[in-house]
Amino acid sequence: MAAPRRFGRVNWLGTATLYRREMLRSQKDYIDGLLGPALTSLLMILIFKVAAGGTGATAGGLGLVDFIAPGLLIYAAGERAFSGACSFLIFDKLEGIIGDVIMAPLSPAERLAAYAAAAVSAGLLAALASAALLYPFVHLAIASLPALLYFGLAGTLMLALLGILAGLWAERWEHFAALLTYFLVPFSYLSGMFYSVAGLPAIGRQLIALNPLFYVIDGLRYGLTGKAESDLGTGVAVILAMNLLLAALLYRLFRRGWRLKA
Amino acid sequence: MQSALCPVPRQLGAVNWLGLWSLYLKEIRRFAKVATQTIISPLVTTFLYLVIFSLALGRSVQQLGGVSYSQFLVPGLIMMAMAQNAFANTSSSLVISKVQGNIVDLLMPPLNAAELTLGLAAGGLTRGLAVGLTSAVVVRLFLPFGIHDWFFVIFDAVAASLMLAFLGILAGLWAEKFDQMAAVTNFIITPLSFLSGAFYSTDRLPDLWRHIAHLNPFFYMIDGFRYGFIGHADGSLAIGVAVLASADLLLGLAIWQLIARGYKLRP
Repeated sequence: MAAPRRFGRVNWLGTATLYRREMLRSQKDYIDGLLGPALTSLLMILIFKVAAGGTGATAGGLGLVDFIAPGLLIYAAGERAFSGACSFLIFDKLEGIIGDVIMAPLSPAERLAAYAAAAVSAGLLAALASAALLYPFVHLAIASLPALLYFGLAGTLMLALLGILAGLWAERWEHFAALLTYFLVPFSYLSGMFYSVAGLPAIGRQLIALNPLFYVIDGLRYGLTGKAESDLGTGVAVILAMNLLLAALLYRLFRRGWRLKA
Repeated sequence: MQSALCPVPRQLGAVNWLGLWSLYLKEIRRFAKVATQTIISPLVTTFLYLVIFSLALGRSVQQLGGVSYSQFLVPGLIMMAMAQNAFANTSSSLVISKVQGNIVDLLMPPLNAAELTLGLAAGGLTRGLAVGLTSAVVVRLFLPFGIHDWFFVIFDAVAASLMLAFLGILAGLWAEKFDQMAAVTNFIITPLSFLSGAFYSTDRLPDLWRHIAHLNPFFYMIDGFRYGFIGHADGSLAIGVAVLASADLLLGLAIWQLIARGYKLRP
């Protein structure tokens, strides 16, 4: 009788397999997941370019379009990470194939790591596709590589973790649609993607300072343009704290099998 | 006596009014049941665009078409919401029915091609108008606006919703999978509506691009509708009315023919 396969402390092969599966399914969906968001980013840039044309509109010390572009890029990454992670979990639950993941010899931490890594990778690919399409129209350069890497990766990870949480919670496709329309899009769009917080009334500035997405967008903009509206140290700390909290929460939920096991 | 032994099929006049009405009700109830997704969600999107564009550009763009930038935006945003939802209603109805196999519920009843075309299109038209009316009423609470010319408000709202409802039927007939429908929405409908001049006056475009923009039928529906509110149009109003009326007529006839032939509906 064959003995069960043994593995060490971490089931590397299993984690890598789950990662690969999630990546393959997001690649299958490239029209919706890669080209669609990239084209939407381009349309936004073109609209703002024409609408602001000749008015000399600026925001945060930058030309309006250069101000907006970094926000669109990190939004493309975050949106893809969130909706990929969320929709794949809902699909698996509704189709009853979530058992494939629950039955596999993977620990809660390994499942969480594979899901999150796949969502982050898909998000970064979407951002790269958007960047390639935007490149001829806006000034894209690297002002601070550490800031670009940290805010790009940690910001996308935050949205990926939120997407996993949403995917665990949601039980129907309507929930997914509602999360996108009433949570992800409004929160992102109102987080200083399109306008400088300096132009907001005091109450608006105080509210936006409580919004973690604002620090992600602002930090990434610093990485690409060298201009920030918030304190970068605060941004680094807020995003780190959010990610640790979300990861700890998700680890517990996966271990309990919340909404995954009967 | 004979009818008691052998049921006689119900006799229909020239038009199966009851069947047409039933199809229309089905299309209405389909979206009314999920009103948070079909009516409220477009309202949220309209508000978001209004807020971000006003905040980003409200100071630099003082006046456009003789009104403030926010007031310039409102009609275009309402029209975009109407158009996208009229399209979504008919296209999703057909694609979902085809994928799930309950398209037979549309093909088996004694409804002819013209009745099917009308019933489906009327459903999309109603969704478009419902979204437009809701958005207009709610936006008006925050940003007062007047009506300059009711004819253009009503004509463009109806003609544009109908045009997009027809386009939705066309896309729904063609598409066999949800991916294909997503591609049509992403790569045709969204760009045409975003670049139709909802967010800027086409007077700002260089000559060549202005001519190209004026070839987009979506431009006329937004321009005419906005004229109804603010009394300023970028293009010719007469051409707009002609373009929309003939697009509706041609699309309606084409779809009637396609459904009569069973294009991608019958094996």
